[in-house]
Amino acid sequence: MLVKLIELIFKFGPLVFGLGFLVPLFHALIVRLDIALPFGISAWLIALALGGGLGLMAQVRGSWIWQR
Amino acid sequence: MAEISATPDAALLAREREIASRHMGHFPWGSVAWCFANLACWLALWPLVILGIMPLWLGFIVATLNISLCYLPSHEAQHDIIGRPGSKLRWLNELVGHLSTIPLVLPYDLAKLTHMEHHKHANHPEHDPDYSVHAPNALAAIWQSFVSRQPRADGGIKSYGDVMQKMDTPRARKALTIAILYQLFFYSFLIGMAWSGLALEAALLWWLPQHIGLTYIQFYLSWAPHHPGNGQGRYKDTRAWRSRFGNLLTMGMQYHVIHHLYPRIPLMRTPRAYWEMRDVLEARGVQIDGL
Repeated sequence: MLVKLIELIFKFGPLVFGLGFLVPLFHALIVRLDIALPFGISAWLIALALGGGLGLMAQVRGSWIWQR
Repeated sequence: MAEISATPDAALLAREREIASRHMGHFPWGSVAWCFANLACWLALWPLVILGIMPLWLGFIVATLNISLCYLPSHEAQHDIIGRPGSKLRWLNELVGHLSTIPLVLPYDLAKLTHMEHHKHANHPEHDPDYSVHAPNALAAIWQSFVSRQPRADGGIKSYGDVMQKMDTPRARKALTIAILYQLFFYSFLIGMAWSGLALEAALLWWLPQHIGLTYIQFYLSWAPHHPGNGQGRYKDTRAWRSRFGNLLTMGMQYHVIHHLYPRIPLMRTPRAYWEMRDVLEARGVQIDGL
């Protein structure tokens, strides 16, 4: 059971990393750099789009950059 | 030079061994102190930065230095230089081996087993675990280091797991399990810190410095001393080279050929051993690039 869970975490590693680490990291960056967001968009929404989007891309493509 | 070139192989080997023997068996105080000081410094960054005593940008620079410098004490331990098996200081050897590479998220057992394979098969396309770092030039080597860390890339440090699976010994299986636990801890820590409001601190004290440190280590320990990496065998798989960045910034790797010939010579004695052995190495046809 535990092994299966660990395998699952590694299988979806990029997505887990994107949502788990990059989302709060992007949010912290937006707040720290005091970036003004248009139309009252929430910093969390932008962070979710960036972190989640990057994680999803890396999950599908198998790479965080353009080269594999 | 003409004189030494004509020296029989046996005499060259005897001279080489005599020089090497004078440098082996010395306790590497410097590397042991380096391990503990470096780790203590990196650990101290966390409270210093989180409590606002040290600015984050400075913490990032120091952490990057700490992580870039953390591998070599473990490397001394991997070769049993601090304490041979069964010796009084064996515990210290193992302690240094385990502790020093924690910031790099590289467990000692995995590092040791793969490094021994590297020594056995240096530059072999299939059997050298560090072969994927090979690249035609310095920039390509740096890029290759990043590429090899991508989720579905082959090679680099990711291939160490494959090496363990191929070995399939109890020790290799244990090393692989510990490596997985290290990875789980590392990413759980990053995620936990990030959701506790310390994402920037986690990113700049560990995540980014670990990437930079890994690249730096792979560049100077794997790529540069083996470049161009097309030779195999005792005097062919490693070179001596002069770097414009000097011996400190290249972490002593200009003299890496000495390490491959005599892995039990402590890092800090390899320059002296090299200069004493240089004419023998030249006679043996070792690639010497400006050193």
